Amino acid sequence: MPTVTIEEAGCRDCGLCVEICPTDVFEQAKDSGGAKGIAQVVRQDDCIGCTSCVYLCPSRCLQVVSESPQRPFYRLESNASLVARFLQQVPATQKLDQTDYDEALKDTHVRLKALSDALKEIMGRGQRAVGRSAGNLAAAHMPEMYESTELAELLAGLRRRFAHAFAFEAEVDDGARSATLTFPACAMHKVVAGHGEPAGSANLCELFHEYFAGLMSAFTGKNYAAATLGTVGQCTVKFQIRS
Amino acid sequence: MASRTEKMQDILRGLRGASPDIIGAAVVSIDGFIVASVLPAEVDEELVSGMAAAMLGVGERISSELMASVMEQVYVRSEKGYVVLNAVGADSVLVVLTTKDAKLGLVFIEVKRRCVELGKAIAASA
Repeated sequence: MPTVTIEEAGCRDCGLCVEICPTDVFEQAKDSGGAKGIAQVVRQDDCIGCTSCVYLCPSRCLQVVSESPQRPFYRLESNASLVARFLQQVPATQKLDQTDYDEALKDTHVRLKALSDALKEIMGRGQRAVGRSAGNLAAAHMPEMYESTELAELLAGLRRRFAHAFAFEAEVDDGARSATLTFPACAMHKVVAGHGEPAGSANLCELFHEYFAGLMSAFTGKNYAAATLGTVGQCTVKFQIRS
Repeated sequence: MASRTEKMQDILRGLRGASPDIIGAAVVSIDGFIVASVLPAEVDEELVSGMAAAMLGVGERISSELMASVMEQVYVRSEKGYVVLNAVGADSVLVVLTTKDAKLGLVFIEVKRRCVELGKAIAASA
C-alpha cells in the first residue's frame, strides 16, 4: 500500500498536488481568513502510488513510499472478480476462452468508434482540440516523461511506455522542431479496418494523432501540431512545433 | 516589419482599448492553438483555446445542420459578462470577454471590424 507524506514546513500552499492527484488524496486546509493553506493528506487509502504529486511539488516536500503502481480499476472490490477471470485465476469452467477475448475486443472497438463518431458529429472540426486536450490530461499520469530534456529521449521513453499497445519509429528533424513518426500497426488500425474505414485518415485515427500531439506538447512545453503524411499500410504523422 | 503575431496582438489591443467593458480577447486556431491574445493573467490560455476551438466546431455543426448555413458568431451570456466567439477566416476564431455591462451592439460592431483586420493579417501571411 503506497503511503504519501508531506513535510509541512516545506509546503508553499500552491495546491498543485491537490489539483493533480487523480484520486483526490489531498485537500488544502483553510486559515481563519478563508485563504488556502498547506496541503494535507486526507484520503491516504485512495493513493494509487502514481507519484504525480512528487514530480510536480515545487518544494519537493512530498514523499511516496511503498508505491506499487496500480490502476484504480483493479482496486475496486466489485471489479476484483472480473480481474481474476481475466487473469485466469479461477476454476477452469469459468475461464475465458478466445471467443470471450474476441468479443471483448469487438465491444471495445464499437465503443471507441461510437465515441469518436459522436464527437465528430457534434463538434465537427472542433474535435481536434478535444483530442489534444485528452493528450494534455493523460500526460499528467505519466510523470516520468517530464524528465526527458531532448525530443529524441522523450520519444524513446514514449516508445517504451506504449510498447504493450503499439509500436512506432521516430525520426527527429529540423533541429528538434519536428518529428516524423511511423506507426506500422497501432491498435486504432484494427478498430477502423474492422469498420471498413481507411486506416490513418479515419476519424478515430485523427483523434489519436491529436492526442499524441497533446502528449508531446505537454511533456515538452511546446505546441506540437499533427499532420498526417501517409497512410498506405501504415500511418506516418509529422509533429511540428507551431510558431 | 511586424510579424503576423505582432500585427494580430496590435489589433487585439485596439479591440480591448475600444471599450473598458472588453476585458480580454484572443485569436484561436481550429486545432486549439492560441495565435495571439490579450487575455487577463488569471485566464488559462490553453483551456480557453481548447474550449473556443470546440465551440467553433459545435457552432459550425449547428449552423450547417439546423440552418444549412455558415457559422458567424456564438455568444455566451453569464451573470458576470459575455463571451463572444466570431469566426475569422476559415480556420480561426476571435474570442472576446466582456463585463456584464457591455453594450453588446457596440461590441459586435467592434468585433466585426477587427475580424476583417485579423482576416487580412492571416491572409497576408498565408
